[in-house]
Amino acid sequence: MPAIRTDDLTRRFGDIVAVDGLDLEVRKGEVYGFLGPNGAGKSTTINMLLGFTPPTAGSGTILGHDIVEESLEIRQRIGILPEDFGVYSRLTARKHVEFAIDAKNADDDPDDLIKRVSLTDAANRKAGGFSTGMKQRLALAMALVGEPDLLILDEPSSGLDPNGAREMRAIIREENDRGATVFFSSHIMEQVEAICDRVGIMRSGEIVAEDTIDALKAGFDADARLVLTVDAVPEGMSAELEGLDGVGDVIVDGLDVIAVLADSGRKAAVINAVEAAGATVEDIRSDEPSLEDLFAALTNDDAPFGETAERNSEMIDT
Amino acid sequence: MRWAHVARKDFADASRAKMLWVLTALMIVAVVGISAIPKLLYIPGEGGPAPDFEVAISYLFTTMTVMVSIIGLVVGYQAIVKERETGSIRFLLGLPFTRLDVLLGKAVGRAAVVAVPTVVGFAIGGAVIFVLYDGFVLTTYLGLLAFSILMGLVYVTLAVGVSASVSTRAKAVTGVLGIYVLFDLLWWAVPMAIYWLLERELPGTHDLPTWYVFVERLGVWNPLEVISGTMVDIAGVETISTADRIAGEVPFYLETWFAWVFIAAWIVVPLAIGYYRFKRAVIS
Repeated sequence: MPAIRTDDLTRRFGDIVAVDGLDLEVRKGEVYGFLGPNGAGKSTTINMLLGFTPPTAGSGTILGHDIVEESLEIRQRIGILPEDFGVYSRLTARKHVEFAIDAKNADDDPDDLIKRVSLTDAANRKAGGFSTGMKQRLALAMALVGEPDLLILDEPSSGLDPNGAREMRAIIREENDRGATVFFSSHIMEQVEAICDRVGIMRSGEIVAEDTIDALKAGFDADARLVLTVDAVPEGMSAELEGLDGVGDVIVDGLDVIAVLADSGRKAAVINAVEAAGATVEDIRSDEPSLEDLFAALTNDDAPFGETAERNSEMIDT
Repeated sequence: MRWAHVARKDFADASRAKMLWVLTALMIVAVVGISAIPKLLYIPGEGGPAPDFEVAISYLFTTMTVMVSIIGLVVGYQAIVKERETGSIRFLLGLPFTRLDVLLGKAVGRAAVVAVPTVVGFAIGGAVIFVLYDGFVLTTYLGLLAFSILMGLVYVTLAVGVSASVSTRAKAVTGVLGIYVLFDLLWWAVPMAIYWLLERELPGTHDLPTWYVFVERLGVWNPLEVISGTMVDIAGVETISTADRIAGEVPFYLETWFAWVFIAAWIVVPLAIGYYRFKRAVIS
């Protein structure tokens, strides 16, 4: 039984399709990074999983329970760090955690949880005066109540400084070592690289890529970029380059000529062709694509790796 | 009893609100001040006997009914919609609570919040009245207290129902005010207006059609007033009985005991509508 499974899950708001036929499967015990730019449909998906927003069509289960019919059982067994939450400004941090413990009939010690998220000094302060980062820590402490089988964390690092983000990752790892499945969303790729077993990348309401980070990178590696700085760009050169075997898009940016290579063995051919067109190559750089490029390629139409995105999504379909 | 967790949390949260303590202070001032008026106005040797407990309690009754209804509405209208606006509802609904748990917990928690200033006001007011006036009757005083708590419950659940039905505080204020003005302040005019449309004359005080008194009873205050007559013994308030007002027999639904059914409906119906709307609300 998967930790999370959705089947053609769809949510429309009027004419806008926020989530479009999503099929998602998060395995038990894994750390799953749910990525995508703002507005891709991540939060709507999470809102449907939590019972905040009913699906327009499709269905889903969490730990085997139906997300619509058995939401109460689900929320008893999972821990949630919601997005855009507000605190009870008149209640202290400890009262918040105690409330979550009461609600779940758990037997945690509120002070232990507060200590885990490094809020001990503020335990007796009213949460209304907390900074965004402190509120985020408080929400995490509440999510950890009752040793949940699954943690759903919506943008857990937002509002945290780099140190706080590191502590957040450490807690995610600890929870995962304990046996919890962790599902978290982010719009920043680099946060997920270190801790995710698998990632799913969402764009315009659909998953466009889903795999381990290594596999995604491997699938993307073929498309290295060759950046040549030239003294001048002769007319018609980029069309000529695009005609070469193994060369995808060619982008001219000032005096930089960027060639996307499906086959990185074609670098010499590109350099020769540029010189043959009458330009002098002054500098040569070869960019292995970063995870960030991959993310941009998958989620942005204008990125130079648009083709890659399509190929990756086809890879998933097959 | 999951809703009890919500109620306890809500009471802890709402009872720390400044507004509640402002209202409590106001309540004390009102109870003490208003009950003292007959004593202060009385000049010995002029205009009859010295005012006693009965006079004081009738002054107090009028004040309390207005104060408690306003406090109930003020305490209740933000109950759920504020959590939606601030986003704390995401904690609440992220924990294992159904939306019905949230609604019931809020209604009970806020009713308790209203009961606090009511009891405090009465305790202090009781002491003042005991000192200033002769003939203190404890049962009458406790009757008025019980009635005030019932009133608080009716108005707070009404406001919580509205709070569950809407998505912004502005709409909640509009809704609560609209209902208060129509079903409380101005409701007496509704049967009168219908009567005028039908008969082209204003109703008298006797031989009214049965429907007239029935429509009256649909308002919030009318059934409460009927019940108050059974809970608080206030001298000098001579209400004309229903039997004298209408032509013919008094149907069962206009008997005094049946006013409790109308009041139960005023508690249940707003909560039911609120639940229906809140259950379908998209939290996004």
